[in-house]
Amino acid sequence: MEKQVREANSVEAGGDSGPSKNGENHEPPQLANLNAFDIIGLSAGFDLAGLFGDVYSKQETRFASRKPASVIISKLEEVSKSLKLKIGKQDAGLFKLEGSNEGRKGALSIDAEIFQVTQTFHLVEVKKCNGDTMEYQKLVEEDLRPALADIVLVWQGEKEKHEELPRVLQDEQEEQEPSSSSIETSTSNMTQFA
Amino acid sequence: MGCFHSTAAREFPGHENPVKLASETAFSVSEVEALYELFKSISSSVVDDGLINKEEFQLALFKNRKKENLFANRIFDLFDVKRKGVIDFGDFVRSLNVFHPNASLEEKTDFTFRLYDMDCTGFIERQEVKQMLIALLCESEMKLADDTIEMILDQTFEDADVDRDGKIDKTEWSNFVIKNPSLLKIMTLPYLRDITTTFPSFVFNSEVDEIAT
Repeated sequence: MEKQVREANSVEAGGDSGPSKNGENHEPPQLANLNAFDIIGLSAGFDLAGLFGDVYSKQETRFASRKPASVIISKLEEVSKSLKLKIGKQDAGLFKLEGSNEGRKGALSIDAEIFQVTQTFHLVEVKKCNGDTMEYQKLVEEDLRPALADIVLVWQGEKEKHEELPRVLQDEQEEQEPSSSSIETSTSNMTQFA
Repeated sequence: MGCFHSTAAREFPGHENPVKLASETAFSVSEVEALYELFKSISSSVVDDGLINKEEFQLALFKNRKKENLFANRIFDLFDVKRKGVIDFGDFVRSLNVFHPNASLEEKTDFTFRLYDMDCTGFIERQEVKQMLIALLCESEMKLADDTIEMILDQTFEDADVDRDGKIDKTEWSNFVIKNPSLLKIMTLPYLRDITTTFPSFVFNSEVDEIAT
């Protein structure tokens, strides 16, 4: 097991998560860990909002990322800046993004919360806290999604909406991590996990 | 209030009385009437028989009546209280009641326990959780190695399976939920409080209720 961990680290160092080797020392304080039921609960089959028609439009969404937390955080900071959103850290893994313009229903405020599945597999939940829902959705669709594209593996519910997109993202992913064995080896980091 | 009191509710022939349903749930009579409007539209979408079948349920949830989903199946099975393969109006209201913001923690905890106890053994076994986890990953097109999946299961069972028998019983589940309240997030639909605004029943009735209050 020890040997595998060392090998995994050297594979990681070669890849795009090189900085994270050092970055591990600067990892943010403990991110909330998702247990099996947290993950299972993400299913669209449990989202009964659909029963009520389009009336209750989505105020939250999630994406999966293969990047380490430090990379995701930097990206969020970079994107917030370019969208002129103020970014504030609330708790371990929770960031508040705030717009300055007073929209129809007050300033737009968005939560972005990072959850850890493994050190190189995270789920980020993006949800509207305050402000106009349509403004929020516009920001997510037109600004956030394109800007976050290079750290996003797949957005929740994407499969139904855009059949093409996940495949494209997965292709890009494969380009950066050419060996599928990197999926295997990266999980041996789990020994540090427990 | 006088004679416009909401107990002068409409009857829904062939369906349970809204006053009775309101008395047994967190919904008011007007809210039950609003749910009836919703029920009507879902239950007539494929077969107009006053009952929601699996296809109609799938159509409502996914906008695709052929879309199969393990978890939607579980929800359907639990809503189908009498195990008839269809959901009637009484089942619909009573089941949605559990998702009401005012429903008790106990009711929500019990519902999730039965939800995840897929084979109805009275225990949530590790194999069941593994199956559900794999189904979710498949649904979301996320790939995790077997090692990682086992690790997630190990961690979860270490937290939840206190007597280490490889399965989670009702008591262990209750305690686990208390420690991890976010597990019940799927069990509350906040907009059930606004249901009369979204699905007004007969304009006459809703105007009357507004005047009465």
